[in-house]
Amino acid sequence: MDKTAFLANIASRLGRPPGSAPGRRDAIGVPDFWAHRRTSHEERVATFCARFQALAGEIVRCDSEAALLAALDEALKALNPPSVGAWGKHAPWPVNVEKVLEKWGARRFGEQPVLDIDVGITGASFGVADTGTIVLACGDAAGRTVHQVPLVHLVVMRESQVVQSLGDAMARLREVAPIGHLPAYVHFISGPSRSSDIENDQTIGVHGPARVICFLLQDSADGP
Amino acid sequence: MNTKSSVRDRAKVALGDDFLRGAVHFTTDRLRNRKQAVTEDFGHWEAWRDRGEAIRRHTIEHLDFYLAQFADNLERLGAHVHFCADAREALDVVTDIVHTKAARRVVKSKSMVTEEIHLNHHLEELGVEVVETDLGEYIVQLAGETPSHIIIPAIHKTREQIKALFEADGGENLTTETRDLVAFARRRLREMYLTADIGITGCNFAIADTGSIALFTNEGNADLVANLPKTHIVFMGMERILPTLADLEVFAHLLPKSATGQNTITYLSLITGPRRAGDGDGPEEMHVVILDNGRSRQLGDPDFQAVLHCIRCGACLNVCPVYRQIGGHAYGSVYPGPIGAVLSPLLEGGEAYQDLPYASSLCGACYEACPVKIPLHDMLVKERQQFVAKTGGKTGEKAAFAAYRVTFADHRRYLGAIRLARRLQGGFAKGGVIRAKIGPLAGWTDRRDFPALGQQTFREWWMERKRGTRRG
Amino acid sequence: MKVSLFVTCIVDAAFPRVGIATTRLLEASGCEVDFPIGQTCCGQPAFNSGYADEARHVARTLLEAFADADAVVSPSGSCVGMIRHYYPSLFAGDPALAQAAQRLADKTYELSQFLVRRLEKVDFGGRFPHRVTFHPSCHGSRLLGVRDEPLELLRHVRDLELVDLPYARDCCGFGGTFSVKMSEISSSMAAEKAENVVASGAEVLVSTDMGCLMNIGGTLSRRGARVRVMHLAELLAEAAGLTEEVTA
Repeated sequence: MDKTAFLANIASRLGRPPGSAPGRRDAIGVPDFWAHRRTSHEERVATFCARFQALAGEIVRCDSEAALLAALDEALKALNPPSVGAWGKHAPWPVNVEKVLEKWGARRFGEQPVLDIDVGITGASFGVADTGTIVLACGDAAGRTVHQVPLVHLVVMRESQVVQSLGDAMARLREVAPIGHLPAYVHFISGPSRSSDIENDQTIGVHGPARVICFLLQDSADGP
Repeated sequence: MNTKSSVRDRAKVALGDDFLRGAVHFTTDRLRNRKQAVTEDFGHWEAWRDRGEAIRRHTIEHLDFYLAQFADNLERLGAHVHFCADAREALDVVTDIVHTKAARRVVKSKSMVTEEIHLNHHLEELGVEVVETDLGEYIVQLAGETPSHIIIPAIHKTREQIKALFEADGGENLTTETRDLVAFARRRLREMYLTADIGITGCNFAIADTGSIALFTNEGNADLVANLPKTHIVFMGMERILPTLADLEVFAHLLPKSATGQNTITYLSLITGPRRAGDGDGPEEMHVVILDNGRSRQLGDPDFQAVLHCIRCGACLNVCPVYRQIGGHAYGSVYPGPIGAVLSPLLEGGEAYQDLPYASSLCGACYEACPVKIPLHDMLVKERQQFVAKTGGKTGEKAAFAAYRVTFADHRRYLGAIRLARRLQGGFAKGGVIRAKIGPLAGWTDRRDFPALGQQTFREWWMERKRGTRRG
Repeated sequence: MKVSLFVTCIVDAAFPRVGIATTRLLEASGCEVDFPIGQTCCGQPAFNSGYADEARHVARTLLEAFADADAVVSPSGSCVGMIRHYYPSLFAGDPALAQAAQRLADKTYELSQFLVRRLEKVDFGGRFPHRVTFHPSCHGSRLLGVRDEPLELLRHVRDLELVDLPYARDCCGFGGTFSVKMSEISSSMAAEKAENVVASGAEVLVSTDMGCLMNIGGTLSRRGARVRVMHLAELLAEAAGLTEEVTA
């Protein structure tokens, strides 16, 4: 059916000329009490960590870049994966982890195939305290498949990237994207892949990663 | 669909299936208990419901505007948007894409709309292999069945049955351990994603002002379906719209909390068009199929427009005492439970499913559970009225209510009828109850006693008392 | 206070003792009780089955019977729910009747709602030394919002032990004509409710609607379960010693 006719039918059912714009609307987005909460950096980070861990996500808090590099290296040693993949060099990495990626011979997105990697390493755009969520805005060198296909997802992030609500994260996404041009793919991830489809028995690692480990660098709310 | 038998007949079959009833009890208990806990912890639940309802009401009242905005934004980003009046048109769109792409294999993530138009059957007729990737849907597909719950499609399957189905699909040396079964599904389905020509997903919400599709999953299958094949087709009911990204936050709370009692969904994917120039992955081509299929008939109808507010969370199933007894298949329609009993006859618009609105005790638990406050119990009554208005009602029942109309409209005739009934019950009444299966009472007295009428009605007592023949 | 009693057809025909107990409780609360004889049924059986016209025709008996009443009180959450929730729209087609329907809706109360909210009387004295469990009727609690009032009254009865009913808020499966039209589903729901009543360990099941109670009670008696089934009004009246003359 042609678009104009389809929309005209809806308008006519609603008893209006087609295309008439809605008037002002009072209830947009979350209720005021939710939008107007004031929280400190420390509270946000603590809530984010607690929620993310409650969803079986893992958090490794690091007090310096050197400590984060060491922790990432340790994690890879423990996993000892046959193959490692990572975002490309020009992706928006919140922390420079090139040294560890080189050491482990990570396949870089955009240069080498990543569809069969065992461990994927990425950055993130935001952490969300309310839901224990990491937000990955994908594009260019920040490929989608790097964190979707492996069994283990390692993500590096700074504390200053933690926002309170999903709405805060969405508003920030809108600020950096011109209207109608959000990244083609933004992924809000809250812990490992899970399913309860077999006799209600909850299990992880169904299609996505079975482990998600977030390496969180301490910094101030003012950002790096 | 199974529309020749009646819901009552199908319910009788379901009531005899002890495993099914046990599984449904267990699952719905778990889901509703978790929902209760998570909403208490979250707080202000009624305020969130009010907000959810207000947003949905506004959106549907201006659906043409928001749909146009959504489509324009998506088209600007290079996606193809198809408006389809019915299942036939939607299937034709798919046929064209399949032929253009010379597609041999399609992977799918869960989508109730594609069930509604029987997409899989159509694709198979075109010679295309269709693979459902949501674990529950995959199990149901291997079994050659349809989902029995909106959120947990394979609620009715045992792990032994699942193991057998996976073995028939190539699984070797499987145990009945969940981990083992899931590991097989992961391996098996991964091959499918990587070799599929087209990925098909549903759409939980479409955001008008950004032109985005929001998908909610726990398994992560929708992301692989949407991103690995070169072509991504999205199916959405035309009512899935939200005006802005800010509104999505409300539903990112309402949907998972209502559906499974999760504080948040594991994966919320926001897809805004096909891959951009410079993107190293993602689909090259994106189609969005927007389906009417009986929905626009509800617009402008004060009794039923709100049914389009539904966000398909399944919370009404989990609290429904009828669903609890009979499970999903007995409804015989794509959408089961209270929402299915309301929606199926409305979307179909004809004779089918007209008995579904009667499969409810009108207890109102569905309305209470609904995150957007759809008055499902009132709609069920309205549908019954429409049925009677259209058909005149079923013969026996029609006669009974004609008699009721005459008898109960006058208190003298009413009392006369009670006195007559008191005489007629005669020998059937023993010890204050009736157990005999007589007339329309047979259904009741099969497993329950029916109260016998006593010596005196209340009004007879009252009149005696007033005349002073009895003190008190 | 002058109160008009809407006794409901179920109570009138099959459970007059509930109407008598209701009368006595209201009188013990200082009300002057009237029973307008023209009343029959709220119309719900027809209404819920889709026969709106028949429902309207019968419901008019209530509009007429209670036209002059100050307040209408009924021992049924379901029938009062019908009046308050559906009457205004049922009569929407006729302005005069719609107005009468709205007036009736505004002045009609379920018994426990009236006692607790309007009269603020929660203690009728007396004792009831039994283990009691409470089934909240769906229409009373959901349609009408009467949730705590019956419990408030039960909590004031001395020596009464109130025990939790598992899955208390689940429908018992009565649903008016549903219990006959879909009798297999209905009796299956009733069976589950009866099992929960037995599991509660209560000696007495109490509720605010005889529809629910004849369904659950009929299931319990068929199974030979030794649970006494009582309307809230009967329990309160018996505890307060207001019922000795009832047995005819």
